[in-house]
Amino acid sequence: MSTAESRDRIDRFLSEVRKKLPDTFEAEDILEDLRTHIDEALRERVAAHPDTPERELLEKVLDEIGDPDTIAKEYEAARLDEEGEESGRHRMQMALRCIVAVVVSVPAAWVFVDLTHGMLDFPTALTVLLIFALLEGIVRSWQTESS
Amino acid sequence: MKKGLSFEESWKVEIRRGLLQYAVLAIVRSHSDGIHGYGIARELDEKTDGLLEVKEGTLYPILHRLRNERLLNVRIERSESGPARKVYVLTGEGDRVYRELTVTLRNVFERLKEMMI
Repeated sequence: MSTAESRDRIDRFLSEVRKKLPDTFEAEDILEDLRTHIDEALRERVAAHPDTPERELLEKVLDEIGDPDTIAKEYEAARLDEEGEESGRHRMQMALRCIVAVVVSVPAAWVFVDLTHGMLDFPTALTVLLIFALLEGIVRSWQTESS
Repeated sequence: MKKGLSFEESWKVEIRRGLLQYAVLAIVRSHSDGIHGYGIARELDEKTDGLLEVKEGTLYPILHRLRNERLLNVRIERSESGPARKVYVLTGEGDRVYRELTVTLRNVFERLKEMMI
């Protein structure tokens, strides 16, 4: 079991890391992981070196963990990698959605012209349907972003 | 005037990140019952002999990334002696990605070896 002094030092270290990370749920999760890691590493070191002051052992553990800047940089790099992939996927989905909208709208416009007995011409019917498809796409992406 | 990391330093950072992700997948894969973060850090150090120069804290953003990519799963292990720990397990997709990366790395290293003088 770590001493109050150790707990205080760990809290201060984690609060320094906290300042460097964005305010997200994921960052909180990483802090929790770091705390578990430090506790475990310290417990193991204390058991292996019972005669060495705990303060000294804790400093070695924190040195191996890395400074807050290094941890924050790795977090940022991992996040940017993910965002890059995510935006690539998003672009692909948008392109696919446009193709599907056009493919579905063309026969639908023919049906529409036929049903209205020519009251609406084909280009107008197609334009109206494509506008509906576009509006539906905008609403859907807005719903996805806000969920 | 040059700013920040030198060419070789930033090259090493890029290479290290990819290799580190691969090494983490390899370690988790070798533990079919799963392994916790501290265990991964220890094995990384032992098995790579410090070659990847990993600061242990940087491992957790990588583990999060691999989880978000659905390559790793997490199981919570309760303990009476300490706090609850996350145990990382390889997913089916993680196993597929690991095997694909292994083939790629093997090919790359074979070719590079031929190029080295």
